[in-house]
Parts: sequence; structure tokens; C-alpha cells
Amino acid sequence: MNRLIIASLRASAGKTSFAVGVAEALGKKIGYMKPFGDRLLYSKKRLWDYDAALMTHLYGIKENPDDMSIGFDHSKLRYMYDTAAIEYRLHELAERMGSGRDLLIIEAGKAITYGASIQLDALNLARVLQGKLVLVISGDDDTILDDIIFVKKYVTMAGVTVAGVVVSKVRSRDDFTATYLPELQQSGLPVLGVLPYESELTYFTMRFLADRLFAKVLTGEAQLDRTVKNIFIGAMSGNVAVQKPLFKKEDKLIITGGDRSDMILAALNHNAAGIILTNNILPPSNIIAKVEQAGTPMLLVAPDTYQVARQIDRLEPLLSREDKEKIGLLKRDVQENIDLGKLA
Amino acid sequence: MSSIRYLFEPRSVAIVGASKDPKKIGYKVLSNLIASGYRGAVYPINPAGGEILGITAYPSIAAVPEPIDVVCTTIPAQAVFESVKACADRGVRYNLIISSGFSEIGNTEEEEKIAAYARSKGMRIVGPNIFGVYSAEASMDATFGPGNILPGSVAIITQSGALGLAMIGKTTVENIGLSAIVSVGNKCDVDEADLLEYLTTQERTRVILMYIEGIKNGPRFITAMKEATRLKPVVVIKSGRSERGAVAAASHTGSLAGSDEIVDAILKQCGVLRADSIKDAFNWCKYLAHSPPPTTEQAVIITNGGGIGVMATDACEKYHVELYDDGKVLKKLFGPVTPSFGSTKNPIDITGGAAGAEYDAALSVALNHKAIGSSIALYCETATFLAADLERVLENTYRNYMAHGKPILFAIMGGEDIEHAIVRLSRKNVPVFGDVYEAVSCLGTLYRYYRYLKNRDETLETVAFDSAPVEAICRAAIAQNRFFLLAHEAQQVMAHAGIPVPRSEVAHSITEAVEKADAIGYPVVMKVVSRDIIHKSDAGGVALNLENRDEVLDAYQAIMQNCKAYNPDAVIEGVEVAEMLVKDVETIIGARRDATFGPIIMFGLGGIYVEVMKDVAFRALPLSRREIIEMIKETRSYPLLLGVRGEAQKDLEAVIMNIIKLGTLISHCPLISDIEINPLMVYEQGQGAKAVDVRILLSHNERSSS
Repeated sequence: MNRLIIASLRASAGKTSFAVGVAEALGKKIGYMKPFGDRLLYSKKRLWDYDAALMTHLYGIKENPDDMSIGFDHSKLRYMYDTAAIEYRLHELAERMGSGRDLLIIEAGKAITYGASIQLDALNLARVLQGKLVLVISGDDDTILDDIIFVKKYVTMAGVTVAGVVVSKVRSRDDFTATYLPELQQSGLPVLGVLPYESELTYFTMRFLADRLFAKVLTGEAQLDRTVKNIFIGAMSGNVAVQKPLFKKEDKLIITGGDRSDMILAALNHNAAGIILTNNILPPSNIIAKVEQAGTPMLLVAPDTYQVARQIDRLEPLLSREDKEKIGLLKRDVQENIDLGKLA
Repeated sequence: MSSIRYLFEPRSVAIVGASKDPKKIGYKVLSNLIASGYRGAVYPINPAGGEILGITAYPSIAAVPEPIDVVCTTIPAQAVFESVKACADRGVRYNLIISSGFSEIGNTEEEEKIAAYARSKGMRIVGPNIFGVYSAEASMDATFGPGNILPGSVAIITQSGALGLAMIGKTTVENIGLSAIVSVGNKCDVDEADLLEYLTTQERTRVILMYIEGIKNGPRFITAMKEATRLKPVVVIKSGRSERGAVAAASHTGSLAGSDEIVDAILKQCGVLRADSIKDAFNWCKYLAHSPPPTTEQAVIITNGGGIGVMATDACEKYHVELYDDGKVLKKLFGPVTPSFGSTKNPIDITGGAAGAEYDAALSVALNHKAIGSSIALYCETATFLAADLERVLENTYRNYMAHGKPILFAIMGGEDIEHAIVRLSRKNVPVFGDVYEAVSCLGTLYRYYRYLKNRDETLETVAFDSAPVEAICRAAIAQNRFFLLAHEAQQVMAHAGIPVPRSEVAHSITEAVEKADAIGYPVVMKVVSRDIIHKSDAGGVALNLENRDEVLDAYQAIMQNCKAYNPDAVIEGVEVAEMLVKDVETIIGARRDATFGPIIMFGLGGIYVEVMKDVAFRALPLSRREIIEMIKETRSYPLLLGVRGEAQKDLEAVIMNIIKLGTLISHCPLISDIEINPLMVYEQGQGAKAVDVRILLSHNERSSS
């Protein structure tokens, strides 16, 4: 059974997207684990990683996502394990998750150094579990170049089998390949391929927003899977808002106060994908009834508009099992751009 | 003679700006004063001297040889200060500044200058920007109103000049006699509380009507109102919204306490009868001024038509007028005066054939029965009972009821003759209305006031409390530039106030969290402690019902990660580990320092949907036990405390005691601006209540003094 450790230098580089793309492209029976979870979900006293739950659903993995991570917080792992115990748990987990599978994907923590103090950093995972390390690197062209050269020059890879580097989210793939790829290949780190930036992967659904913002769903529960492509802050009157080009775009989310009935009605008239009401202000019941009738998801949150906008800005757009198109796109990107032979 | 009496019963009045020109306000005030038959000395003041309206005019205030109690100032704004100065130096007691052009147009500085000078010399100012004062006691119409004010027993205090003038005209049309009318205008000195001091004890005034836009000194207003309603009914029309009340606050109590909700609650607490329209207010005042109090809670309806009877029954429900419903007694009483095809169930239907004799008989039965506290007589026009006879019967019945001290009112409907009858009877102060709801609303108001007086309780509830340790906790937080208390600090405050809280401790590491949970005993709850995260549940910073170590470990990780994701800049001080309480009725009690009214308290249905349900009631502190109970009863969720669906009654006494303790706490700690306990979990009778979550905000204006 092959073990693949997918890691990145920085957070949100595209590890999970790459893992899904690889799993889809190889079409093998896969297992998954994420020893140091970071996309934590906590409900009804159960704790699991979002990515673990996603992979479980996508690939029919029978194990419980709760069991695919050893922990989520340094303090807990430090409290419960020493070096030997962590290594024991890693082996035990890899055995269990990889049993009967062609490929075990092991996703490392959010950045390459994450978890080093508790032996759960990417390089230690690769050493302990004897898997092939794939480094997913993204950013602007210069950052990508700097990161790869830095790793090659300063990061000791003793005891680690490096499969190579995947350059991800590249805005202009052809230019990058022509300009930088030859230099990267000379660095000595094998480049497995260059993946293009796909704007579709950055969109949220209203359900995702409702979960992440701990929002109360006031209306449109059945339509929570609507995609949000644009965000409009309704800080002006409804009359002015409707004249703004962004307001006329499709699949927009409107963020406004619950006392802004004019803005809520304008959002309804312009087919908003959803509405978020801030400051915990509930609109009049006739307005709620209208939104419900239109089936538009309307969420209520406690923070003010600025805080909510900041929170959404910080959110990572995560894949969900319903995102068939996105998953198809990832499969195609990996098939077309990655040297899969070096991973198998 | 108390000082305020000089305003209503002055021995002399001077008009600064008195004029021979009938278009001038100075002319109109003087002419009204003369026409109203004022018996004191009148001094027109005009630099030209001579005579105005046959009275010797003086060139200046200083030139008047006798003492002056009241001056009416009717000169342009720019000349007012010098005139006020001269009056104050001359020892004038009251200056009615009719002139406008002061704070109402932003000229606050000039107004403050005038008020300060007058204050330094002991002269009181009414206004500026008023239409004057009318006092029936002194036969004094010192206004520039339409004149011919009908003397009577209703006193009007109004903040709006134009509306006040219109009211004068309207009272004449409606035959409402006035004991006094005063406009308070910009209220730079004399306010409603001063005027109430006189009107409350003045025998002539039986009802006080106030039109209020804004209240300047809330606590003084409350004291004056409570004193006034103790002796006579006060009807208030309150309009306008205060800016201060609209300021969003970080607590639920703050955001739920819109200015109008507060005013409404406080008016109710003071026993004030709040009217939404001038029509209602006039109807109520006229009725209250002439009606005796009800003798019992229960009323009877006598009607000649089923439909109007049903409408009256609906109206009674709406206006909380209880109907007498002992069927056996009703049958015995009204059987002999009701046709066999009528009904002796209240409403008593004496049928369409009823004429004067039948009405007289039925209403006499109601008058003479002790259990019936008031009567409502309804009439739909029929051919058997003509308007002329009706008028006579109604008037006689009314006089008879008044002679026996029992309230009655009439609602009659029909054609032109009936309309004319309504007008003629109204002029004789017979309470007759062309609409059932209007009639019943008057009776409902009478009952509301009657109940208020019956239940009034002046014993204010407070508990012994040492504020020093609480002040120390607050000052320590303010020293850290923090204007709210952290959870453990808030719990310490609760402990000092004697409000029970679940056992809890703050853990600063995962190891401590496990140790503290072990020590407290399972199940426990965990909550983030951070100055940067106020709404803990919204940040994913709360975990409930943790039953063992493993669950505590998972919850600790979840809280830390969620809170870091919610606000990466948040400083997380630790995690509070607390005893998990058994769930029961979740209530909310809150207290805050209102900019106008001072400390106020809130009670209602608690939990996470408090702002959605908005089932809360407010009162101003200090409170009597009766007022606390009334506040609790006012909420829709009150039945939950009594026990619903077979549940046992909850510990109402514990709720009352916690409200008293919270009230004492905020009253004694000026550093605290808001306290909110949500939920206050209320258990079965005898088992108390516990403050599950407590939020305390500190006053920003204490920063410099700390």
C-alpha cells in the first residue's frame, strides 16, 4: 500500500483540492488520515476535521472521521502524548486507515512547520510513516520560486522520500511554465506539475456560511446550497444599491442590518443568492414572510456588518461533497497537468 | 404659600412687550388677561408708556411701584436677556418667556445664559418658546390663545405650543372645563415635575393631561408622577423618540430597551394612563373628571340589540373591563325587566322594543346591585324609543348614577337625531358616545386607574449590600482600559450581590481544565474567557454537558480553535469550567443605567432567542414588590413560571429576590452601566434560581474618575 504525504509551506495552498484531484484521477481505493487536524468541526460533543469528513463521504471510507485525526490543539496533544506515544499513534492510525486500500493519503498540518513541537509536522510524518512527500506550493510567481529554492537550499530532507513539488493556483499557467519551470527543474526538486487557478473553487455556499458564522437560518433552508460568487455590503439605501454594478451581478450575497427592509426587498427583487442580517436585528415579520416565500436563504448573525465582512473574508472556501462540478474540475486539472506516474 | 403657587395664583402680572397693536402677541396676552377677569394687578410694560387697553403702561419693569409675581415676556429674542436681568434684579418670582428663538433653533447658549442669571437671583423661568399660562384659580388667561377658556377641572401641561393652543380651542368645543393650561416649551428651568407639585394638590384639578415630547430629568419626573397619580388620574400623550435611547448597546437589555419601550413601561409603573391620540385623551379626561370610581371590578352591559352587545363585549375584553357573569343572579335581577325573548346573560338584551321605561328599569336594577361596579348602556335607534325621550332618560339615568356614586356610560347609534342628541348630552357632560369602542375605552381607563390605586404599594424593596468589593473589581477592569467584566469577575460580583451562580473556575491550560472539571464534578460546561469575545456562543466558544475527561479535552480544543478562527486577534485568557445546571425555565433579568431615567430593570423570557421573542418588561428603580410582580406578570411567558402542562410552579419568590438584588447592585454601583443575567434558570418552588451567564458592562464616563 502506497502512502502519500501531502504538505505545503503555507496554509491554504490547495492540499485538500490536490488530494481530491489525485484520488479522482488515480481512481484507486483510497484511505485518508489527517493526524493534526485544523479544520475543526465540533457538534454534539463530537470533534472531527472537515477534510476527513469530506474524504469519507467522497470515497466511501468506512472509518469514522472522528478517528482520522489524533488532535486539533497543541495543548491537548502535548497533554496526552510524548514523542514515543505520538509515533505509536501515527503507526497505529496509518495501519488502520490504510488497511485494504491501494493508496493512503496523509494530509499534513496547515503549514510545513505546523505541529513540529509535537512531532506532527509534515517532514516528521513522512519520516515516521515512510510515505512519499508531495509539497504543494502556491502564491504569486516570485513567492513560488522563493519557496521552492528555500526548501531545496535550507530544508534537510534526510530520511524523507520526496515525490516532488506541485505548483498550484497559478493564474497564467502557460507563462509560468515557459518562464519559470526550467529554472525550477534545475533546482533539483522534481516538479510534478503546474495546476491552474480556478475561480470556481473559491465560491461559497450559503450553507457553508451559515455553519461557519454560527448563523440562525431565518428563511430558505431548502436553498442553502446556493453558490455565492459576489458579496455586496448593503450600507446605502435600497434605491442607491440597485444602481451599483455589483448589485446587478448574479449569485450575490447581500450583507446588511435586519432593520434595512428596503435593502432586503431590493435583494429579493434582484435575485440575491442569499442575505446575511447583522447585529442580531430581526426584520419585521412581513419582510421575513416575503423572503421565505421567495425561498431566499436569509441568515441572522450577532456581529456587526464590518465584523461579518471580515469573517467572510478570512474564510477558506472549502469543498463539499455536493460540489460535483468542482470535483470534476480538480480531476481534470490533475489528469492534465500532474505526472501521476511519480505518485503511484 | 409655596413658590409654585405664585405661578398659578399671582397677585400681580406684568407684560413685557405689551402693545396697542392687536397683531402683536403682547396685545393678545394683555387682552386675554383682562377678558378672563383676572383680579390681581396688571402692569403693561412698554417704553412708550401711556395707556394700553385702558391700563397705565410703565416704561420699564423697574418703574413698576409694586412687587411683581409673574412677568410675561413677549419681546424679540435678542432683547430677552436684558429684560430677564431687569426682572430678576427687581425680585420677580416667575418669568413666562413667550418669545421664541432659543434652543429650539439651536440658540442654546443664550437660553443657558438667561436660565443661569435667573437662577442666580432666585427667579424661575417657564419656557422660553411657550404660549403662556392659564389658571382658573386666579381667573388668569396669560396666553395668546383664542381666549374664552371654559373653567373646569382638567389641567393641561403641554410641551408643544401650537398643539396646546389647538387644545384650548378643542376643549371649548368639547365642553371640557380647564383648571389650568401651561406650556413648558424648552423647559430651561420649570418642568413638568414643578407644575405637578401644584396641580397634584390643587383641589380644583381632578384630572391632569400632559403632552410630552422629551423628558429631561427622569428620576424627578417619576417621583412627581407617582405622587400625582396617588391623588388623581394623569393622562399622557407621549410622542417623539429620544436619541440616547436609540444608541445600540452591547447587551440585550440595551438593545431591547428602545426609548419608547422604557417610557411606556415607566408611565405604566407610575400609574399614568397613556393615550395614543388626542381624541382618546380628551374622552378619557372628560370621563375621569366627572365619573366616580367603580364600586366593584365587574360591569354590566344593557342593550337593545344583540350585535352592538357583542361589539361591546369585544371592546370590554380589549380594554380589560370585566363583565359580571353570575348567570343565576343576572337572571334573578334582570328577568323581571327583560322580555321573554330577550337575554339576561351579560350583555342584558332588553330587545329592540325597549323604550324609556324598559331602559330605566334595567339600569336601575344595575345601579342598585352591589356586585355590579359600573354600567354600559347601548342603544341602536328604533321607532319605539324616540331621540327626544332618549335624551331625557339618559340624562336622568346619568344624574341618578352620579348621585349614587356609580359609573355609567352610553353608546348610542342612529341617524341625525341621535347625532344631535350626542352633541347636546356631551355639552352637559353626560358620557355618551357614538362608538362602542370609544365608550368602553373610557371605562377601561377608569378601571385601569382604579386597579392601580387598589394595588399601589409604596414599600420599596432593597437588600443590604456592601458595594466596596464590587467597586474594586470594576476599578481593576477599568485600570486595564476594559469596560466590561470577564466571566469570573462577573461571578464574583454576583457572589457579593448574593445572586446564586453555578460553581465555576477559570482554567488557563488544558491540564487545568481537566483538573477543574474533575474537582467540580461532571457534567460541566466550558466557556471561553476573552475580553475580545462578548458573544461566546456566536464564536463557538461554549461547550455544554461535558460528561467526562475525554469530552473536556475535545471541547477545550474546539473552543480554542473556534475562537481563534472567529477573531484571530482575540486575547484568550482561559476557559471557564462550570457546573452544568439542570435545564428549567430560562428567564432573563437585566439592569442598565438609562441616560434619562437612571437605573432601570428588565425581566423576560431568557435564552438564545431573547431578542427574537422580545418578551420583556421594564421598570425604573427603586421598585416595590408589587411593581416587580406586575413587571413579571406583564410578560407573555409568565404562565411558564406558574407551571404549564402539568409542571410544578416555579420559584417566583427567587425571581423576585434576584430582581431586588440586581436592582440594589446597579443602584449602589455607579461604575456599572449594564448587567445582564441570561439565562436566570428558575427551578421549582423552593429550589431557587441560578444565574447561568452574567454580562456586566462598565460606564465609560467613569474612566476619568477612576
